Amino acid sequence: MTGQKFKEIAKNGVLVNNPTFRLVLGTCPTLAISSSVFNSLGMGLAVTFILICSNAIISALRKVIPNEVRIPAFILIIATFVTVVRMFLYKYVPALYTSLGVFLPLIVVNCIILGRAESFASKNPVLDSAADGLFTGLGFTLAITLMGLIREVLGAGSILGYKLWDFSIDFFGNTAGAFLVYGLMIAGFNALYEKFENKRKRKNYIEEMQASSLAIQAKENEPASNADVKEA
Amino acid sequence: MTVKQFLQSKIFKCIIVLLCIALVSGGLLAILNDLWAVSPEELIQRGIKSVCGDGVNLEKVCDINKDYASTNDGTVQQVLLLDTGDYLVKAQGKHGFQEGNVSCYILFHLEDSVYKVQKVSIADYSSSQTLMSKITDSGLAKFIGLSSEATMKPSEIATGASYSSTAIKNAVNVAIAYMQTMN
Repeated sequence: MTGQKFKEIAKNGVLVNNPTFRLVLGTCPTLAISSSVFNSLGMGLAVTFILICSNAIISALRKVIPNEVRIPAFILIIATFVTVVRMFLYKYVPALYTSLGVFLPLIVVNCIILGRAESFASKNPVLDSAADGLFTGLGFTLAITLMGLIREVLGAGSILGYKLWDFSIDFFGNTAGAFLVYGLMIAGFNALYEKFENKRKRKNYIEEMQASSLAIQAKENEPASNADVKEA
Repeated sequence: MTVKQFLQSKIFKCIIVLLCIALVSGGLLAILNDLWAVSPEELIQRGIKSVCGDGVNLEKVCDINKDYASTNDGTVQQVLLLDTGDYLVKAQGKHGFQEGNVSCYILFHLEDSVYKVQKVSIADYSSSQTLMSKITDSGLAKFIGLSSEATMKPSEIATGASYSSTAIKNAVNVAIAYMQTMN
């Protein structure tokens, strides 16, 4: 994998195709789990680990798995890693295991993981697929943690369980608050993304125009200088 | 279709691939399940830690007197004697939302020859209890100091989760009733 491709995969996973804010995938855990930073970070890291492992294995087996049974095979592989994460959390981080509750086994049918397996891992080499899993997972983790931060500060007046102040707005801890924060963050992220994208396009356009005008000038000067040489 | 044709067919390849993945996954999970198994002692210690914090240990697991352990509203599941001399009772309360259950840890401290509730903590609950997030520490603190049946309304424990609150109250009451037999 070249450095350029690695950069492109990283940019796609975190920004251009951010699963939460750009593709609006994995909405169910995003809304349900993002009530606190601890839960959000835990969910994000769990999904990232599963994405890396399942993408790598699916990519390694892409020439072995028949096309007709690819979805059951993907689900088997994903379910295995979800169970590994469940067992690990139950043993070593029981508080997070309890907080994530039913949403932990539901990662098996998370659209982000199935989507990346189907659209990327089943068509690309192992390293590329693992990198895609890492950066898509990081994009999801950043998005859900940011939502968790906003909701915990506003809804509970605390960060990571440490009380900041007594003021809190219960609305942000509820489902309706989650929808509002999610909607506003999608709008904000896309507005910023479009702004930077337009700026980049304008800059590229100006550079292309300058390059083409320089090329035209060079062409115009060429016959004149040839004629000068002939006259001389 | 002959056996040879079947063995060369795509269907056979699909079955074999899925079986191989399932077998390898199963093997991996079996090994990890053994490695990361949580023992009953560890579960008890976790329960103690969730209620009493660090530094408190189990003295012994008490035998449950089955004559007093169960009522129509709940069941005493575990009685633990701690090294502090306090008793930690795990009790399950019935009649939660959609007839679900809520299990609680109730810590009892001996005061003037009477066992009084010192702390209540949620242990686990059935999946039908969807509003458990409304149960807060301040709601559970309403039980502190009780040595006889709790009679408060469910809404005093948590507003908006009256069925789950009822199940919690039932769990605490069955634990108090059991401890009264030990006074």
